[in-house]
Amino acid sequence: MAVSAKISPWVALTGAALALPAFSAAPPDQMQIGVKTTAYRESDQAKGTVLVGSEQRYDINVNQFYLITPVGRNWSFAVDVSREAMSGASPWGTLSAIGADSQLVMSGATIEEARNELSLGVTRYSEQSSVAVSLTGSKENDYEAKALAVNAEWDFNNKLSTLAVGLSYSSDELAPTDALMFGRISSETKNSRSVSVGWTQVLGRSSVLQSGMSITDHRGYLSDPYKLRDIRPSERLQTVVNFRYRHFIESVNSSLHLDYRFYHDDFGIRSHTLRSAWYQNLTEQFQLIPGIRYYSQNQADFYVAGDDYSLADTVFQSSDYRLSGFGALTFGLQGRFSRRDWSVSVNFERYLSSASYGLDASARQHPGLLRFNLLSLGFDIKL
Amino acid sequence: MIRLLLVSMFLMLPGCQAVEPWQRGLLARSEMQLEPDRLQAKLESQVYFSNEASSGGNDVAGAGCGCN
Amino acid sequence: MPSPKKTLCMLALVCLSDVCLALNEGVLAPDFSLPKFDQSEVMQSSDYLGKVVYLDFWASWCGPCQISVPKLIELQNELNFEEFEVVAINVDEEPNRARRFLERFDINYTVLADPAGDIAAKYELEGMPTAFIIDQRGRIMKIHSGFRRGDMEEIRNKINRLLN
Repeated sequence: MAVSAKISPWVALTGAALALPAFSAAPPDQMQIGVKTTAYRESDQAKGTVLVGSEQRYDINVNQFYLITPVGRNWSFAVDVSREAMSGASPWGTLSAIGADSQLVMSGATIEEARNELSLGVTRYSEQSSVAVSLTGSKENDYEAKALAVNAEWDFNNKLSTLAVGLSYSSDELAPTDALMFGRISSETKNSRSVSVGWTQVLGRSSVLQSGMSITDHRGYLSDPYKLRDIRPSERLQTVVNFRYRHFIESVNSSLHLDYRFYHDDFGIRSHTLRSAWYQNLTEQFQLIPGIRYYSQNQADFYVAGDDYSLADTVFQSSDYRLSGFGALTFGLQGRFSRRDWSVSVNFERYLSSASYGLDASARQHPGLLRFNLLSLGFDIKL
Repeated sequence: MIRLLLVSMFLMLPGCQAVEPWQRGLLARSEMQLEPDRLQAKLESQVYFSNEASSGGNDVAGAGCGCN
Repeated sequence: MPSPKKTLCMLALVCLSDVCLALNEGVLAPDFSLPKFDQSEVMQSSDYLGKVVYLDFWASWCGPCQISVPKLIELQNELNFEEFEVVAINVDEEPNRARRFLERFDINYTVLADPAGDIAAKYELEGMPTAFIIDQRGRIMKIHSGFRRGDMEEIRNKINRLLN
């Protein structure tokens, strides 16, 4: 059984413009290549939370590669490749009995699955602006997606300010495995359109602030076909406002990162995300980066704590833990060793989620809320 | 929400100081970029998308070092 | 509400972007008096009259500067020191970074230090790096912004034209 939330390439695309290790609309000086390998391990379910099925969750190994290179005087080209191998189980449904905690019905056997994604981008640079176009495709055995994005940037005030506008479109096709056997839909499509605007402003010699907004509209089959009872609207409108602040503190030779994102959609979900990282330069070559992330969301309008078969199948409902009210904390630590042209990094993160961490005091704990550990090893080089 | 965004963007401009092109050394440091680690950012974006209801907010890159 | 001073800051920023540049090709290059990077002596702009000069403002943190250095070394080697000099003005606020940068190359031209950025301000730099090709009489003949592979061709041609 595949991962319940299919990752459409538009998710990757919204990061397409975070291309280069430089601020303004300028091409890279040299070719740069990077690789990263990651082990992602979800913790097993606690005793008593699983009614039927495996207590194990997902194990995912991810391998990533990117290449950016200048081409001629005014162009650059970028390639991104990602390969994931997944195995494990995930919740099929939730049963709640009166007077007892909800329990999960988990998928049975562990499944091996692979997901591949390829993204190609071209950017053209002018004196004070740039335009980038990128194409992304991803494939796994039950899901295929294609996406196109266009991003444009303009510099003002002698490159102290930048306006960025982005548009993207993605089209996904879902053909769940074992459709006949489990009475699932055989094939469905979904498409997404997004527009984003951002403004980046240099506030002083050692600080920058970016603020942005994006609106995304999804249409088509939005339910999870692997869940026993999951009926969602066929349209979803999402709005995001975000801020990113970077400040260098000369006295301690470190940089503070502070990010905030507000999210709202018409499933009734509102969330807040606050991230902070402290980039501490210990020597010219070694950097230690502790980080923390706090997240809180409320539950979707049609969220139910347990699958309700008494409701007609035209009534929206989902007991997916991802639509419940909860909060999450991530603790991270990264170490980076850099020489003039290359660097190596190791990154560890631990994620914990619980209804009690969220800002919504009335949220009930969904038994499927997870914890995971993530360990990455990365290498970058300029050629 | 749009008002929140517009007000914050307006407030940003007066807070600025004119930073000359030759004074942008600190801004050029890798740890001062909006996203210093491209692959980590993509990875985390997918991980959180898979486990939470929210997505997005990773767009766009920005201003300032004055490097031509 | 923004104070009048801050409002002027906004307007100044808008102004700086396009309209206010007074330094153009054809005008006399502003005077300078700067110490050599190794602190051995102080050089005046008048010391260079009679020669064609490639005056290059650079910093250790500027990516394109790394590409230009080997090309400039080549250029200085090719041409007669009596007729042409590369003069590189470093604007790093922290000289140690510039020193480490220089150690990687076999620099055969003069490097001067302007950590306060006073001369950079006089020359009204719009970006980094910026270079000025100055003729024997001290006039700015060309302003070269940025540095990409292949730029040296154009620069070499301009300098040869001035030498003949």
